Amino acid sequence: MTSWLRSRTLQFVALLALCALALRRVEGVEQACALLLAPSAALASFLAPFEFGGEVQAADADLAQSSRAVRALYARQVLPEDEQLRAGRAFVACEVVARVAGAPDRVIVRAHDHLAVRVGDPATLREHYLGRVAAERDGEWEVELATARDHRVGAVARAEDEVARLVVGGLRRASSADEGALLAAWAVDDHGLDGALVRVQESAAGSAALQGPDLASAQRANGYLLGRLRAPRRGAALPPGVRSELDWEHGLHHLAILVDPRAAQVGDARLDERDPLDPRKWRALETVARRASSPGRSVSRVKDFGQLRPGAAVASDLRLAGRVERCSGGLADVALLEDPAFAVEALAVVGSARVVSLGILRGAGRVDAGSVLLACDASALQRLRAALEGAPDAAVSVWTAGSERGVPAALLVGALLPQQGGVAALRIARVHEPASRRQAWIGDGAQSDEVEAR
Amino acid sequence: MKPMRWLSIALFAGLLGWLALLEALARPHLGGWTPNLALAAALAVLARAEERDLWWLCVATLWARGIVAAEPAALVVAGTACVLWGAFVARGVFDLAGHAGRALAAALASLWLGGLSALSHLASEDGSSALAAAAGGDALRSALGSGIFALLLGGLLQAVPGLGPLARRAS
Repeated sequence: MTSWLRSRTLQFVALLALCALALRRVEGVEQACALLLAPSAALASFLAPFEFGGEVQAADADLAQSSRAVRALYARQVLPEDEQLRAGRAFVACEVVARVAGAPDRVIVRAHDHLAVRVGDPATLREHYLGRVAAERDGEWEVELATARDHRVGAVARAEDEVARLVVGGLRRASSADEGALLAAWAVDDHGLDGALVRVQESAAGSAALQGPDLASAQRANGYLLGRLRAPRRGAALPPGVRSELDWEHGLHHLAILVDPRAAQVGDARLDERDPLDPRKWRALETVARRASSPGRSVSRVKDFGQLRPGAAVASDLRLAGRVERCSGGLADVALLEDPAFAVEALAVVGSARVVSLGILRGAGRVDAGSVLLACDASALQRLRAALEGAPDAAVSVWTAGSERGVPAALLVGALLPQQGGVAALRIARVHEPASRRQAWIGDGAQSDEVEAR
Repeated sequence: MKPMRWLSIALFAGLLGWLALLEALARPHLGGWTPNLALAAALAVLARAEERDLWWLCVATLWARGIVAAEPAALVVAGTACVLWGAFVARGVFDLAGHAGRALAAALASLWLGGLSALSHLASEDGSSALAAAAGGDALRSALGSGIFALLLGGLLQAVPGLGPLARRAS
């Protein structure tokens, strides 16, 4: 019995197999190993010079006020500045909370006025048309974006005195690498309008399939911008495209739904369920190890009380400290801000009134005790620089966008610090936050048929 | 097994647990250079341990690493088991208890664990190369740190009072 156990060859093969299974993250093996290491968790509680979580702390009063102001700013930023686009319309501000799995052109939103929204209502962002409400699901609304393959919206292209009718919807393949993705334009009755502004124009004649309330609902978006018409290069077998200014992938955090003015102000704000100031949505964490020991990582280990989900925000007094990375064996690992596994959708507030989308920020290490580096796309840096051109001395604070499950909007990531040029990362000031004050967001459970906005 | 031997194994587990926590506390200050204290100590003791105690020493080492390691449990178990098995095989050929032997063993063990961690990031579904690069870079630094630690303090760890009954194997 024991002779084969003593065989070094067999031991070697067994260890190699274990390594292979560990690398492939086989669930059964993971659970068995977590069980084997269970005494470690108990041991940690007894031996460590740890800090333990207490009652849920009341948020810092000034920070709470700032967070409330930022949320209000997010809601205001979705409205168009053009009075003509506001006139006679009722808007319901919404927060994007996730994207639908397998359908990245559908976003799930929560509305400020849930009862006013109807399927078919157009969704907009400032003066831009986004898509329309496609379905209701569990108190949230699914919005089909104009980039969806089957989405179609009537439009007109105008350049000086020339006008052409067209239908826009879906994405058109780029004819060159630098062109990027464009919205596809169909049935364009004039090809000589390259560069013309394209605006939504739904009409009874052009939208034969729409009648009565559906048509009225679609026509509320008339005048909203789709982009500029781009004719394909000569010889390219492609339809014309519409160049949109929106960042469809990472720039959709909040939007407005144009509702029937008679139904607006009914109430039932489902968005309040994600209010970060609601202490019932947070759960105090018991930290087992403030910083777990692993090469290249900045991870804190906490006890999993059964309500934690991967991706949940961990904050201290409304300051984002990290996100839950994984839960197993009664413990959960929290990737801290500087950790390479940390990622969050964020917005920058420049001064006190301007919001700039930063897309996804990723942990890129610690600079010193008071600041961390968060990497972002070059396009986000460009947007931020453009916003700062008019106000170079304006203070910039970075906040969570809230467009992911597990992360409410308006948690403070930190204040932007000046940095040497040429670095594709933001240097963020971080206030010391004791591990004992950390709380995890339990305000919205993970849903299996969704992916987080990316 | 004699009570003294059990006591020694318990002391060994306690020592490793304390070193693992020390390592976690040192990491914010030393970053990637943080030596793998618990593993270096385990290897130093293992070099002189008798064969019948090896299973218990392995379990104690696994538990100590499990306290603070941030990798998935399977990776901690697989990585540590490989290191200990490798040390067990190598001690029949090399003198792991000597200065050079224990320093090399600690450095290679750290490198292996870091490499495995980097591989796991590459093998994961989202295939984070940033995580893999960070783990790989830190593995090199940690290997150097661990080697120096084992070189300087390995002898002291082998002579910790109470661990005598575990270190009777002739080198």
